[in-house]
Amino acid sequence: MFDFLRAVFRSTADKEQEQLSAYLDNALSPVERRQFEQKLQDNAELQAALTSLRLLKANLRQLPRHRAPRSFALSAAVHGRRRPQMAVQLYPMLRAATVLSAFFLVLAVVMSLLTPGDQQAATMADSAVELESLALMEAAEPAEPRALAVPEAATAEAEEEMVAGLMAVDVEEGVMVAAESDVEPKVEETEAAAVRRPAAPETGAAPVEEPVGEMPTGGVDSEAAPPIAAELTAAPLPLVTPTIYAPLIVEPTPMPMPLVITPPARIPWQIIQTVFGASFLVLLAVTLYLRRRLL
Amino acid sequence: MDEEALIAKAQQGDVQAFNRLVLIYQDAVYNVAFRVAGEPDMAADATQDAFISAFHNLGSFRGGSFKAWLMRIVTNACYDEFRRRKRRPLSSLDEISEINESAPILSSDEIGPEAHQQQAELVEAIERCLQTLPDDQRIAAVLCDVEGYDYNEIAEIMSISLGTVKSRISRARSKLRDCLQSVRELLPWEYRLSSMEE
Repeated sequence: MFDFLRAVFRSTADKEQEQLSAYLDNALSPVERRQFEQKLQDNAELQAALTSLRLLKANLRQLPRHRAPRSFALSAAVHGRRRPQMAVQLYPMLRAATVLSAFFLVLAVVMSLLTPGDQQAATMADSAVELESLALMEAAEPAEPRALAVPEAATAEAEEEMVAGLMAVDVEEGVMVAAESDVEPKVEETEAAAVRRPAAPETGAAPVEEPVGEMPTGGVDSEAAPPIAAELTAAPLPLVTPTIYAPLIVEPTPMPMPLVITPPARIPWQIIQTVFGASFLVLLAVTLYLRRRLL
Repeated sequence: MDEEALIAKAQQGDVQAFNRLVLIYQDAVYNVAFRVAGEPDMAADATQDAFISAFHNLGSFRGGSFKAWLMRIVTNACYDEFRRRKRRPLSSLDEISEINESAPILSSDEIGPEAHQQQAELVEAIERCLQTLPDDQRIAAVLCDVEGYDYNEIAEIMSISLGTVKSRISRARSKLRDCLQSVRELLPWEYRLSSMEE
């Protein structure tokens, strides 16, 4: 690589010595050879040097040849088994995959540490879960009389019980005032139509109209949202007076919009880290095993 | 079976085919290793390592001179052995004396005992002087002057340029000549290099 540097810095004596050596080995070009032979004719010192080099070369060439002290043939038992070609081909790919998985693992760890909104998202998600569990607890109390806006399924069940179980609920009109809420309620009348029913035939009472909880549109569980919504509105609750054989007429009331807390999309760093960590360990183990077998 | 067929079979993992190549070249490989290493044990180790390495890396042989390819491997094995020995240098005087005693003599039944002795001294002097050379110059000198490779082959074996080959061989010869002149009193008259100059 640095031949040009050596050519620049070597002395004239070195150049002459190299030419002499190359001349001895027939390694000069025809032009160089002619030029050197002309120089050689006029220079006795150079001739002597050439003679001594020729003698040296002859002596070196006459060094005795050695026979190999033993056979260097390879043992078929040790070296005979062929290396698995599949493993040979897979090895570089596995090495690359191991490095990549390690890189992504480190990247995932660093990103999880550097992502600013992750803690906030986690907190919001936790609060949403808490609210949901509270709603579930509320829904689990069916005997509460003020729970007017119960879910649809629970209402139907309660209606049957009331009609067949000799219990009727007389609700004074006007008492059933729906709680006014700041949130614009989204009511779907189609569901409410199913509420109006005639009075039970054996009782002869007037048909009772029951309020039926509307399906919330916010994506939150319908069983959980209404009680929470009712509580949040803090509206006056209807007084329900149980009256035997009384007609049940309840105006459908719009349900307030349940408070919906949608946590921002949370990146599951722990899962990602676990996946990359496991991949890295498996790939590393396989790569080391193959390396041990192949090398 | 010719060499190419043996190489092709060996490349497919046929140890027997490779061993036939070993039998063909083991003397040449061992000689280079011996001249470069300067002692039989190290030469044998380097030769064995070279053949094992050659078998395992036969897939990388892309044609050309198989012998030159082998020589390249054995010179690399010698370099490795040098490095290994430098880390763990010989400390036993017995081993050193073994080296000197193991110096071969010119095998000729035609010369008398006195000439035989003189030749043995010459060989010993040359081998000692060879060992005084730097590793790269010694390898170049052995490949050129002992084994008879041309400059292009040496450049291929040592993975160096042609200019570097010329330079190394020239320097090696100069040093060898100086070394042998310094021990000329040990040499028979006809082997004294300076005598030709006087």
